[in-house]
Amino acid sequence: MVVRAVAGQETAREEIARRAFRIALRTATATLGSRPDAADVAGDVTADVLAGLGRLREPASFDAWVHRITARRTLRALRRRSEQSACDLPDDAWASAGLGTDEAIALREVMRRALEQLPPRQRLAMALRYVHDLKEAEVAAALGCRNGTAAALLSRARETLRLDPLLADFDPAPCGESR
Amino acid sequence: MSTEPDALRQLYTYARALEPTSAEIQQTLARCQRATSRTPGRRHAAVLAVIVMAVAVLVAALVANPFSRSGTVSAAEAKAQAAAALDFQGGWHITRVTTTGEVQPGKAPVFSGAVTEDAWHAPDGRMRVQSTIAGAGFGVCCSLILYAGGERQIYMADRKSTYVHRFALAADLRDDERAFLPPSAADLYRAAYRDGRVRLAGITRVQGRDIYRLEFDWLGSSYTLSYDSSRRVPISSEARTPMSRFRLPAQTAGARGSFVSRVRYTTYEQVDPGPLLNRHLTLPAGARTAKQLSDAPIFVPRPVQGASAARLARAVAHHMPGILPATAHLADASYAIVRQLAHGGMAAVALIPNHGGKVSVSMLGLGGRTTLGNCISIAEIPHLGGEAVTTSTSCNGTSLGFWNHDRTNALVGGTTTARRVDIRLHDGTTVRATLRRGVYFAILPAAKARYPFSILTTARDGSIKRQLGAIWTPLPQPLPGE
Repeated sequence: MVVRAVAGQETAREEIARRAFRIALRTATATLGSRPDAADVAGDVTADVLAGLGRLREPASFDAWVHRITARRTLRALRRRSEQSACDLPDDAWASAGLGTDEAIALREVMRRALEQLPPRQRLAMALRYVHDLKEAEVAAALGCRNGTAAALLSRARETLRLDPLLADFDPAPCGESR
Repeated sequence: MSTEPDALRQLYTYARALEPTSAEIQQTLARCQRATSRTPGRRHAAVLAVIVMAVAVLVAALVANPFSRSGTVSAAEAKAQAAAALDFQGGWHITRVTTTGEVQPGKAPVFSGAVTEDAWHAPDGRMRVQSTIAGAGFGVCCSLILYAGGERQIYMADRKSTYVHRFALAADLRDDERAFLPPSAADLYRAAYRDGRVRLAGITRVQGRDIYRLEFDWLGSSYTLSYDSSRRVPISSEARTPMSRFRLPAQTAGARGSFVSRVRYTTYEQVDPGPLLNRHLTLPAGARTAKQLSDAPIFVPRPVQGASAARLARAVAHHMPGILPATAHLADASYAIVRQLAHGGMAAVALIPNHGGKVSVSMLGLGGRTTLGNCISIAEIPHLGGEAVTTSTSCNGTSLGFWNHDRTNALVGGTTTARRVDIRLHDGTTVRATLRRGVYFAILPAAKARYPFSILTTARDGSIKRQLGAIWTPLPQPLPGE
């Protein structure tokens, strides 16, 4: 499909765009907490992907390549937002998730708190790990760091969440345990 | 297990279930359509289309009097010139450089890297297009496409690979070639002339030559051509489309700029069939030693509504790895909707059960969009007995756009709760979709499908939900007067 898209086949390009947008949208939403912001990032990622498709030497590594672009774009967006407001997670993400009951509001606050505590790269690592079920090595590739660094990011993120009294029982599966 | 881990998992479940909306995809494609004329192939259509446009607008200019104003060419002679220039049945050689970008009010235009395309065409249908891309941020890249001997060969020197697609039917090859050289693109400009749309915006004299500036507007875009009447060649052209064209009226805030595509022609000449042309209609020597990879076409039995679509589903899974979830039941796929198209081809929507991947609507939460959990895949069989062209595939009920070179534009989507689906177009007219087995299908008027529209879903309880949609159809577009 990548080859056909590079060659200019419209349908293949649309599928490529949809796939890239989907990957980026999910990662960015889980990192930024806002679907509209994530859609902006996903649009940028998709534009990058369509523009750079001709340079992708190994079509089989398409997803990994998109993850790398997404990581870069998402971190940039996250840092830009951090400069404006340290932990300003808008409500729209939670509202759009259909959470409205008291319990859901409580869950939302827990999630807000969890994300607020994580620095950008840890948020992104967690998103890659738990949204896309990437292995540690794949998370590292997306972040452009060593495997050990990715493992440390994930470990610290889990530890941070574990130390939070509201998330005291949080015990996600270790990295790479399942796919 | 406490609720907290569930809560975090729920957060990620939310993210995992997200699907881009049709409007998001189409707007991104629209945004990239000109910007990504860097990628080889797509730009061939656009670029060559504008080349043909140049010739066609020339016709308009020649016949519609502006030439006589210069006193250098009579109207009759202009008509004869234009007729010859429009005859693309013969051999020709065109080289052009395209830059694309955005223009915002009060700001300097931002253009991407340039794409240079060198195209040779023979009267017997052989065509070779070599593309070279150069620009900041994405280095230099090139590709080479050759149509000859019933095959499409894409040679990528950097990968040392040649991708070969052998067509079973000549008609399928012609359709594919039209994606790179749509003959109908010329129709747009002929029609613009016939419709009296082309106007002469000015004549300037440059180095002793009369340069005509010809303009016309169509479907929200404006087109300009600079034509050298002395040398009888187009010099440059520009297509400009306001960003607001891709938005509904309520969305126009922040979309005041325009997408711009500028083309400069460096070669524009007729070439008689013979050794010179033949020499340029081959792949380079490196292609002979490159890895030959087969890009096999998809063949399926003639689709019948309700019949098995297993072969199509397997072909989709094979040609687009990862597009269907592992939980999809390919063997149980069936055709939910089959429609005969105006040009004689068929469009078929396959419903592929996906029992393992169902996602709750509340978790999707995308403006009340309904969801299937099952997957839908659209295929077109342009010519009976020929290959199937898979256009789009989606799970989770995302609506999909469908278009082809015969200007059929359709919207397809999935819904588990609707009893009726209507498409409200930008001008207020409504098209009712066919709804069968949780899949809807609506053919939209080509001209109106170029604008965003609303999808109105009426649930069984009578409630109506609305979401935005758009179909981006780069070429060909409906003609003036159609």
